[in-house]
Amino acid sequence: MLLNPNANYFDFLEQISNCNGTVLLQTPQGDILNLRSELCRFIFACAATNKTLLSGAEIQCDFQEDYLLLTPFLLDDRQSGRRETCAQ
Amino acid sequence: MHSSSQKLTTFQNLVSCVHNIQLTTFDAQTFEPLTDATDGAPILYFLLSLDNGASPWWTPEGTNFDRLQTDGHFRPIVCTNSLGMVWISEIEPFQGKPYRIHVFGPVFVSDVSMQSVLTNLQGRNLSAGIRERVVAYINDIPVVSTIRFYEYGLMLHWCLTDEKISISDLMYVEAGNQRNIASEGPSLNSHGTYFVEQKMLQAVREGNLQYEKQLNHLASTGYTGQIIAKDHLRHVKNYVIIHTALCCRAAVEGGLDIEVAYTLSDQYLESIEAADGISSLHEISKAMVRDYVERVHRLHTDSCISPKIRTACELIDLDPQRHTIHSLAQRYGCSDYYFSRIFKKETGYTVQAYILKKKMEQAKQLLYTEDCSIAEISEILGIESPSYFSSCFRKATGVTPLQYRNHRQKDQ
Repeated sequence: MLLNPNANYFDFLEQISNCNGTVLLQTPQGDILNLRSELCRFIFACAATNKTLLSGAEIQCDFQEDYLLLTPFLLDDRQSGRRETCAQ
Repeated sequence: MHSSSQKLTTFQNLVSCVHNIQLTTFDAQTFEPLTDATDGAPILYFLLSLDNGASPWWTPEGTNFDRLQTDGHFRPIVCTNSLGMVWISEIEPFQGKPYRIHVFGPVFVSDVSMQSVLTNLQGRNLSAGIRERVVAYINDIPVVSTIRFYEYGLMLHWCLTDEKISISDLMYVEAGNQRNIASEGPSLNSHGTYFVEQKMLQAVREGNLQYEKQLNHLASTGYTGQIIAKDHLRHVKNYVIIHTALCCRAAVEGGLDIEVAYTLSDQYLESIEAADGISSLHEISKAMVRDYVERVHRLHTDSCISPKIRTACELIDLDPQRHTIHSLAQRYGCSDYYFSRIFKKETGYTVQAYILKKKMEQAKQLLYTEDCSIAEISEILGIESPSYFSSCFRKATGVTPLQYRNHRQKDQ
């Protein structure tokens, strides 16, 4: 699912802390960030100051319930025009 | 009287003469950045929450201001994250309630932390745009010595509260789920610091009185471990103990007598263990290095006294009660008579007179700093009769021990 470019990224990172599995962010440029890792969260924070860098970024979760937690920050299927992919 | 805003501006200008450290102000209720919108503020906001799980702010339980107070006053809070970045948060009260939060930093207190973040970045296939942004942000974070950064924190606190505090008043927030970044990539490379440390020890070995330049350099780049430990005072004590052991051995290599070096080390270790604040540990550390350097320097420059007699003098200086003519003569494998003769010839004092002189110096110190009776001081000095002690003291100083104590107290 795509990350909503208008989402509040502060709240997004907070919510990721509540997820049970790995949450990966993949940018169209090929960057893959594990948002449970401190270093990747820092990289995300730096990138988030320029929204174009995260434009079109895709979120992949290990568990279905984690998608539910992150729903407010993701574009739904119709908005993104894509089908959600669960890594598990 | 200047307002806190004016003081803050002056503070920022003064700090900027030396380091480019960011000062960001947040609203204490909404946590919205109040300073001019810069890229740094939102990144900082993320950093503050890095190690704290779901918490939006720096306390594991969320923003509970009560736990950040000591005796009803907010204290500067030293925070860190697992990337090795450190910052100081200061809560500005208004009518007793949190009004604004000033975040000073982040900085790296060690170039190793900075390098490890950069090294970890290299191991990731980041796109040019993101890499450029992250590297630019990291490169803008200054490396500042721990003590200097704490001192800035004290100044910031004064700007906001008009209250002067000491380093031991700082509070430390332990990061939740702290993880060493080394586990995410290649091991830390601390060789840069190792070489600087070797330079400093070389100064001790050579008795180089210009050592402070090396020491300052070490302070600004040296790696002293993670700043946050459960007991920060213990962490600093451990560091100073290791520093003392290294200096002791360097001084021995520089020619200082092993017993002198180790006795000195024991005395410093005792002071380190007894220290109750980080600033006093800093002072002990400085005094210890100075002491070793000066002793080795004297060895290399004072040619009138033979190394044997100089060492004997130093042993007496360190512990006048412990040594006698016989123990010293035995140590150097000569007769008491021969040793006494050489000692007198080179120093101008008989051994007994020299020991007594040192005991009287120690007595002055005890009279000034301790509350013991004359009999107790006499016993500490190993002089059996208090009246003999008083008589010797009077001969040496011109006044009785009690008169000396009273004069010093009046002067104070």
